[in-house]
Amino acid sequence: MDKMKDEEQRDWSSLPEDILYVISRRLTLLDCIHLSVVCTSWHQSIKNNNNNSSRRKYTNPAKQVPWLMLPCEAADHPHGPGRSFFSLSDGGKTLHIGLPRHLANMWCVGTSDGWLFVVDSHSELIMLDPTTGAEVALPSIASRPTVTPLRNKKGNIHKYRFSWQVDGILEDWGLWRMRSFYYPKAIFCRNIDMVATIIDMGFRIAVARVGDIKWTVLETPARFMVDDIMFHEGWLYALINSGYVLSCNLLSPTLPTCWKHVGKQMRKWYGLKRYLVMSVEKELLQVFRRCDPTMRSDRARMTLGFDVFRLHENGCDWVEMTSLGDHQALFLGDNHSVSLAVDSVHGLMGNRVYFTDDDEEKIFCEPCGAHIGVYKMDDMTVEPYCSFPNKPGLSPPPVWFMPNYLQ
Amino acid sequence: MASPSHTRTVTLKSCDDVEFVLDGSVATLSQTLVSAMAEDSSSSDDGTFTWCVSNITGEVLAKVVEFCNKHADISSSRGEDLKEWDKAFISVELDLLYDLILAADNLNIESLLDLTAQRVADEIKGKMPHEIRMLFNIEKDFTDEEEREIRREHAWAYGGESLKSFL
Repeated sequence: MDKMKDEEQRDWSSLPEDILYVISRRLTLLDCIHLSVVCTSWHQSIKNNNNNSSRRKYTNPAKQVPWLMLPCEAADHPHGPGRSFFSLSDGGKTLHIGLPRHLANMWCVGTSDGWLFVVDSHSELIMLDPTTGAEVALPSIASRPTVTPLRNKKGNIHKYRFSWQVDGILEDWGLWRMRSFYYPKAIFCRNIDMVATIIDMGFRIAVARVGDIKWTVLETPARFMVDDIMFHEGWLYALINSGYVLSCNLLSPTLPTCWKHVGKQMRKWYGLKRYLVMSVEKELLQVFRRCDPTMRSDRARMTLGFDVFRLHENGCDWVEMTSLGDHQALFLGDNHSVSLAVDSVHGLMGNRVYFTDDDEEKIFCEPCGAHIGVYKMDDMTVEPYCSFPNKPGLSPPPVWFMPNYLQ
Repeated sequence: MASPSHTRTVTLKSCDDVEFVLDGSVATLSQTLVSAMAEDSSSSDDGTFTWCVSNITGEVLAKVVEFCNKHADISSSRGEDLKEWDKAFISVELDLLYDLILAADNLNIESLLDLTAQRVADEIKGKMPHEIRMLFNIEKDFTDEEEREIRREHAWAYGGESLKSFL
């Protein structure tokens, strides 16, 4: 007891803001939230830190592993209808996050920079941060001159009339069909506050800055069909069906009409699902998913592996990679692909591809969920994703989601 | 004349007057010392430099010096061995951890700040707010109403447990 008295009490609540920031960057979002409600000074520090953009320089490799967003199992959850998020970096916890009621049946078409791109029941695209409930409205689908909403007798929109093919034939699509197929993917670029979305089932790309009232459809080459899009430092990259990667600069205030080729044409892709990813070392990667079509009945083993190609420094050749290195992992999925510097503390392993569902199921409207796993580049085998209960029958399909730190 | 810091020796003096003599190359781990030495021209001839750290005790400074000596020693500063050494080094009581993290910040030693911050993060990981308070002996100074309000921003982060059990 005497010894205790002699020693001065350390006042942890008075830790300087800078130090608390360094600590918080080593925590997951969930732990960081818990940290911020310990006492008023920590709460204030975390708030100040997140408003102080100059501190970003301290940012170490991500301590947060992307969450896997799952359909909600408990419709009667006390937080209301929402979604479940499997978080590996929080010890494999499944978090339930309630969603605004009008988005309870949303369909997710993309996740980037802490935002979900969701399509609501009227087929409108909305940005949603599920961790805070913040929503950002995007231009209406009806702002496109070629899309006409059709109303039923009660005056509610129940169909859209539009043409997406070169021949200009008009089609009427119901809300469910629009929601599931009209926007194959949407992405966000924080630096320029811009959203890009593939529209018309892959035939066009539209962009809008946050706050715009109209979509701007980018002019694209003939017979253009997009498989994947990605932002990097104000440039939009598109992986197209001819086997090329195209890019255009969206930094200028006037939107571009000129696409340039990035690297040579890749011919090896037929029948394979493809992804664009920027590596940790800022090399452009093209990734091909190899599936075994003869094993459709045994769906868990349908994904055989991934072939990864990086753009050579000469800006021309695509070089096959036999390894991602021990400090890099890829997270791939239809809605979100990202490379992470791996920190083994959080249970991630380097030289792995963590993958979730392909979009194939969506097209055939089959339940999903059997396509989640980890591909090991070194011995070219697929193993289950940690403790994640890998069960088929998940709809909508699971997607990766990287939550943002406290804003 | 600009002083090539690695050729000098540095004397660090704690607030309770304990002195430590460091090789100049060891002292360069501390950005605070590097800047101080660069500004100081008075002692460039005899090659010694003395720096008083007014808020760090001899006991804590001894640990800091031990850390810097180990990390500046290139022959030992490799991979797994150093990791193991760091792990043993940072297995300290929370009071000493608190002093070390402030010392690392004060002397601006990035690798020590990383190590101490990681240890604090490891302590916090997976704990609920009331458990973190208990661990660090921190008093909750929110009113119930304030805490309820703050928790509402991320209601999902507290699992199925009700607010009451944390108050």
